[in-house]
Amino acid sequence: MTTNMETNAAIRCAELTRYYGEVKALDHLNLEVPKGSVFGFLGRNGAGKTTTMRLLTGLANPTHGSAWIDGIETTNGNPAAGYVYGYLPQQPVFYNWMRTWEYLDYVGRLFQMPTARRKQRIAEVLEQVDLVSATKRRIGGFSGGMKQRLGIAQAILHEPKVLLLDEPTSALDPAGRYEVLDWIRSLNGDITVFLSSHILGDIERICDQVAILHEGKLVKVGERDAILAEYSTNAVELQVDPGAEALLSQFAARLQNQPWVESVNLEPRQVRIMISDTEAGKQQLLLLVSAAQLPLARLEWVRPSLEEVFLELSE
Amino acid sequence: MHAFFYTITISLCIIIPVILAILVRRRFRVSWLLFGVGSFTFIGSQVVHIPLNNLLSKIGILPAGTDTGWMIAQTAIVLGLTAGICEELARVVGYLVLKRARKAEDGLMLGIGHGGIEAMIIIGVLSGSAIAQLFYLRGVDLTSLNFTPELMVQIQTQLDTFNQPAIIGLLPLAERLMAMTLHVILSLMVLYAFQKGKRIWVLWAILYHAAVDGIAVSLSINSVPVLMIELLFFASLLPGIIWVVKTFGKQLKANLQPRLPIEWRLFGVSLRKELVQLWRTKMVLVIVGVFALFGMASPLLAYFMPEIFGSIEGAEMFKNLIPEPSTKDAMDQYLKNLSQFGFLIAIMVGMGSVASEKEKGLTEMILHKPLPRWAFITSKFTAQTLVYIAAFLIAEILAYIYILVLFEPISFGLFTTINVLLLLWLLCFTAITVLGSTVSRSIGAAAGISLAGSVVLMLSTQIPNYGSLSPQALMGWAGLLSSEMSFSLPTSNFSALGAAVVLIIMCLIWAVGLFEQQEL
Repeated sequence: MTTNMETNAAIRCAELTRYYGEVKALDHLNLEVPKGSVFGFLGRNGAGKTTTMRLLTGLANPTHGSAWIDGIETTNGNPAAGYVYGYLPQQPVFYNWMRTWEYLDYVGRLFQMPTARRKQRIAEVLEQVDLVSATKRRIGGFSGGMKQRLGIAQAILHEPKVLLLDEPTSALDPAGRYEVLDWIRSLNGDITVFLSSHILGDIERICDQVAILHEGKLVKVGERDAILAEYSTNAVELQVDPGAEALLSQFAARLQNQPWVESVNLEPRQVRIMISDTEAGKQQLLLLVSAAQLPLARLEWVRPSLEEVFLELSE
Repeated sequence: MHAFFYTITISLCIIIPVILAILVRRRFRVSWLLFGVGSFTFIGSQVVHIPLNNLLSKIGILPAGTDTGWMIAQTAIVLGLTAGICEELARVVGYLVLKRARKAEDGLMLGIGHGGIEAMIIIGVLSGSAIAQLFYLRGVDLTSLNFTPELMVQIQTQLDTFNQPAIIGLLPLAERLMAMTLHVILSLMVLYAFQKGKRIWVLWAILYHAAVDGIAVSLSINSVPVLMIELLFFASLLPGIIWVVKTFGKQLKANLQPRLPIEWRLFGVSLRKELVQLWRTKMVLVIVGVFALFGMASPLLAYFMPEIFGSIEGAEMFKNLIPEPSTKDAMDQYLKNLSQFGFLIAIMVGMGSVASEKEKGLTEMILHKPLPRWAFITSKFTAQTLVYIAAFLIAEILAYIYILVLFEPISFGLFTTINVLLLLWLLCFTAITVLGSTVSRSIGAAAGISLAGSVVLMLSTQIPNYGSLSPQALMGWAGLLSSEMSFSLPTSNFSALGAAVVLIIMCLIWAVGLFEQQEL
């Protein structure tokens, strides 16, 4: 097995496997995370997300297989691999007796950053995670959210090429969550972000690549939009103004006779139309609506949410 | 000059195996656990080997004398075979335990561990006191001592080495290096049996071991000059070395890894953090405070003991029974107080050093960063060592001042020697506690393991025939120094000193080896 690999993948897993007794926590994971992407890693509890993170960071040992981050093998016990990535565990913990700057200074020293650069980066990351006011405070008195932000700060301090974030927003309040998501989105391809989250809305909002893990196996991987398109339901929802229920009912009956319509589901002020021929539907639906003179409140081509795709794949 | 070369030999026999292991580790990323298991395969083999030889001697298979040629041959064959069978089978058990250790470099590390601990024990521990006693006997008329004629001849033969050039003191080192080479060859032969699934290679290893040992035994009995024995020993290794190069050369070359980056700076970073942590969590104050208190109070307690008894109601009559306090009483108090409380402090400070960080998840936060695990463990031990050195220094100065004021003056050099022995004794408990803390995942379990290990160490002086080799015997040596008020070779115990150093090194190697295998 080679230690260094020239590759376009920021993260590469080859047959990465971890068994705990009879339990297959991770089963022959083959995965390539493109450089510069924001990669969402989804899965139910126990699907193997954290195991993958721990194997990638060398905190756990694979039963079989190897993994590389930025071309450097991380599964062979080489501590020098730690230079290329930053990692935020699910529940970051710190030395409670340390002050914020002191902890970051310690981390900077572990990455052998020169003094001037270290000081500059500490100031920058504290600004980025909004902890400037807590620079000299003892970490022991921090709230869960502050610890999560400090966890992000220590992960990005040495400007890694790859960032591994295990549930980075789980302990943050809504405002903090949006700030962190905005910051990840602002990275603009400079850093590869590999993040796992239970909050599927977050993943859908910021990730351009998605992988879904189920019972230790990779069940789906690819570009977010391509996956959503693949699982598109070809459904249209149409809603009318109050008082137009009768018109809507007549319209629904007319739709049933169209060859491009698969089914129609009528509700008091809304109809959901399943279309078998998307092209024909796109051409004729609006014409029919216009002809029926419906007082239209909303017309939407329904796209499945990542949550729906996730639930379908992980059932 | 002889003393200088013997000191070099003893020191290098302890240090060289560790340096060799570091080199193998750096080039092949082999776990330290292999070194640890290798050391156990040697110790385990001797647990069987020594009683087995005694048994064979009792039932007459191992001849009592070496009067005839056949008896010499029988002795050489039996001793060679028992060494081969016990040690090779111990290696087999080692490989069975280490199911994943099937690479050539694994065999290399196991062999260094096996031969390394043998060198450490034979030269670093057992020879220390023997050489010191020889230096003492050098200027003594042997006939004035109550020795048997046989013992007298043996001692005189050993004393004759002092008439040879001083560099002869390096010969045991050369012999141990060759023995280590033999153990590497044998470990690779047994590994080959596992790699190829051919048990016959275990038999070849036993026979090769028996042949090399047997030749050495017969030459030794036949009073062949030592230098010639060593040369023939080296010659007997050549076929093994050629076999290793031929069989494993390509494997080793293919498995070479890029050198690990310099990690000492990271050790420094970790040590700095540990020292700050000990300071911030008030551990330094507690340790230094307790040591300073007992350093100061020991002479005071000894001095005022009669007054203390006189002031206790109902115990006034004991006041006159207590002899007038002396410097020896002050020193005894000092030894007693620092040993009792120092040992408890060592366990209390060390028990959570690794276990609590694992329990809290701090190791997960830190050890995915470039900090190597060996640096994480050893920095903890080093930080505690530095604090204990400071604590002993303060205790020594305070006790010395009070002894000067209240009693007869004593030699500062002698008092420092006593403190160094105490420090080394305490560091054994520190190392055991760091190992206990590494093995366990909770502070409670770490405390239990450390306490159990410490009790075993304290009781080890009671082992018949071997008690004086225990690091705990350092306390006895320190006690003799304080009662005699002078340093003398007959009362010295360099074996206990060597044993303490070896115990500390092995505890740390085991701690690092086990920690490398743990998932955080």
